[in-house]
Amino acid sequence: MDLTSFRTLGRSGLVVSPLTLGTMTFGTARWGSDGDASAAVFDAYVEAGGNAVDTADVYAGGRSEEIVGRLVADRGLRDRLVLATKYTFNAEPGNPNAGGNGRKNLHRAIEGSLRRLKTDYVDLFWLHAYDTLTPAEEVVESLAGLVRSGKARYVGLSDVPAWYATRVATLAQAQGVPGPIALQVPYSLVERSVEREHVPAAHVLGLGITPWSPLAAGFLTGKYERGDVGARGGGRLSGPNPFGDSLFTDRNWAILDALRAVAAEAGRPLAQVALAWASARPGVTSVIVGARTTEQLAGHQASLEIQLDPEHARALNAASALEPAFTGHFPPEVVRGIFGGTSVRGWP
Amino acid sequence: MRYQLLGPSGLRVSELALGTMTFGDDWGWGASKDESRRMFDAFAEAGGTFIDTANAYTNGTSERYVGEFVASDRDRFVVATKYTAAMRPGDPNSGGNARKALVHSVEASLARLGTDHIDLLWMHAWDGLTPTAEVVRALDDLVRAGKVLYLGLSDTPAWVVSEAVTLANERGLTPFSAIQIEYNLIERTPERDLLPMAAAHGLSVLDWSPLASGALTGKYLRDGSAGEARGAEPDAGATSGTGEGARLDQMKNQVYDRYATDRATAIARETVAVAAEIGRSPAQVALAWIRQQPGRHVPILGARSLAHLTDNLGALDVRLSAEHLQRLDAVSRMDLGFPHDFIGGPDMKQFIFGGAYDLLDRPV
Repeated sequence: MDLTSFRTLGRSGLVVSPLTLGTMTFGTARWGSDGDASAAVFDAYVEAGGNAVDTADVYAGGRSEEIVGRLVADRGLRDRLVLATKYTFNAEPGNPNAGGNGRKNLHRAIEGSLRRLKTDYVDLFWLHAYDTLTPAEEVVESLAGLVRSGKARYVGLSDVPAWYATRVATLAQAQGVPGPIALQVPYSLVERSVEREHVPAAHVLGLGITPWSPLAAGFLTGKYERGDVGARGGGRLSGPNPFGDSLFTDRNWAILDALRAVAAEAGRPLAQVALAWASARPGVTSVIVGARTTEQLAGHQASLEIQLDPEHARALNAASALEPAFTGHFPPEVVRGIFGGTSVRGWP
Repeated sequence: MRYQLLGPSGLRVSELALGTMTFGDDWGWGASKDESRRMFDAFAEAGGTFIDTANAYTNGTSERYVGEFVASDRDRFVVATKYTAAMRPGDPNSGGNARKALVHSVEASLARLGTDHIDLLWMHAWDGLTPTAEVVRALDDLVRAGKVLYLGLSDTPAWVVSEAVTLANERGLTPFSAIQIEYNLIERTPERDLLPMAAAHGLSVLDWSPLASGALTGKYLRDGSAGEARGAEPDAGATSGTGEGARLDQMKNQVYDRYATDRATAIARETVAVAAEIGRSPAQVALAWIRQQPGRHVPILGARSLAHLTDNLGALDVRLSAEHLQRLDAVSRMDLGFPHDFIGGPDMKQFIFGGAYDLLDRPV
């Protein structure tokens, strides 16, 4: 596989590369890249055939969108690229209508994004995160309105509970309006919670999954070691970050050990194996990767060549298995009981 | 005993439900008919009206007993039963969520219950195969036929419930009133998806295994074994139409494995300690804890003896103090995981609402 191993995003006609270029690092001072470094990564991705670029209005306070917008315009790539951005986060402290998923903020946000991106449409407009308040009906209607107005070609949902995504998708279906085609959630060897609800829901609803943080903010590259929590490594997790120290758990160190063992046997860097694992998970359409350098990006691309040995996949899955929970999803032996002890193959 | 509306419906139910998986000894650990009758009478005398059974419980005996016990005052009781469990081994269409299984299961339940309508019909457990649209429409047809009055979904993932509720509302079909799930101090994972989903849709929550198969009474602390533990995951009736001994033995072991963990033991110890401090039984504390959690909870009391049931009913006037709730929470809290820890936190709310979240009055 390479970046031109195209696939449709969910049950839609939108075609994307197996790796999406994430641009949260573009224009971010402390751990990201300046304009030149961002341009080099962007050019390398596009030259290798990549077509999907993901940004958000909130990344680097709008700087990421500006950098992406200039790169796309300068190189005349607008129609070739699948350009995605997001709304939800607040742009004006103290004004509750300048954030959240209501229609007022949605229109404020997309106008700003189109201006910074120097375009009159985005290919994919994401609701960035569940705001706990806005009714699903309003979200469906206003996102569909954007598609009808031509400002967005498709819409997707990021960081929402699976039941909320289901409600939005089902409402859109029932009302016969354009609904979400994709689900963006954190998904990696150390964050498999989405397998409880999101993955099965996305399958039934026709949503393509685009994992974010497939390397767990760099944890799965192996650059952090047990005991050097904090100072060393120079990565994002060494300073203020949304993960806190929450990644440095016994469970995660054990997963990292398993990854190290598999990577050594496969003769590949840890990051490549971790990405290959994410790419191969059922339901995953395009893994979002960030890169500060073209070397990092080349490594990510190389992960597409890896076909995990079944033995290795088993070892990684076992080390990272989820804790049992009551979800209403029963194991196959229970479902067998429901069908009188017989085995029944379902519609795919 | 007080009464409440079941979810967004007009149905009045008692604030505790009587579970009847223990009615009949066909599965080797239930109550005799006489003891079942005594439990039923005690529940009714306490004001209880909400009776929960299932097609497969004790191979149909439970439904037969319930039908007999409610017969003299049928309209007073809210009789709930379930479909999904296979009743003919080897026949895949005798179980599952599909219309074929639904129709014959309801006909058979009506015959065993000796009634012409079921007040509340549950889909017992999601089968992972039947399209939700088929279920929603087939259930509505039974309501229109007058055989079923209200609908609920038991042991079904939050996203599937969300799909079913939304489809029913959009299509003008009979709405769903409640979910039924396992929830107790040891099994708090429904706080991730099922409970917020139920709250968002206004659904009532019937809690099965509120005492964690007895673990919260402290009985495993005393004898260090699962003793006569009965099946808990999932509720045995969802899968066992025949109740073979080997299967139940296996379930007993599973129950023991689940409740022998350090965490479960610590929770049971704290429950026993709180109970001693307020002069109540641990079971009453465990039930009161559920009733004081956010959401519209109706715990299901499943007892094998009149003594246990009477003790459980004593939970009606137990109200735990903030300090006791805090202690029970501290010992039983779990990681919510994505996306709940990510989007539910105060930082994220500030990030989205620009510091105005706490200034915002929200609908209750």
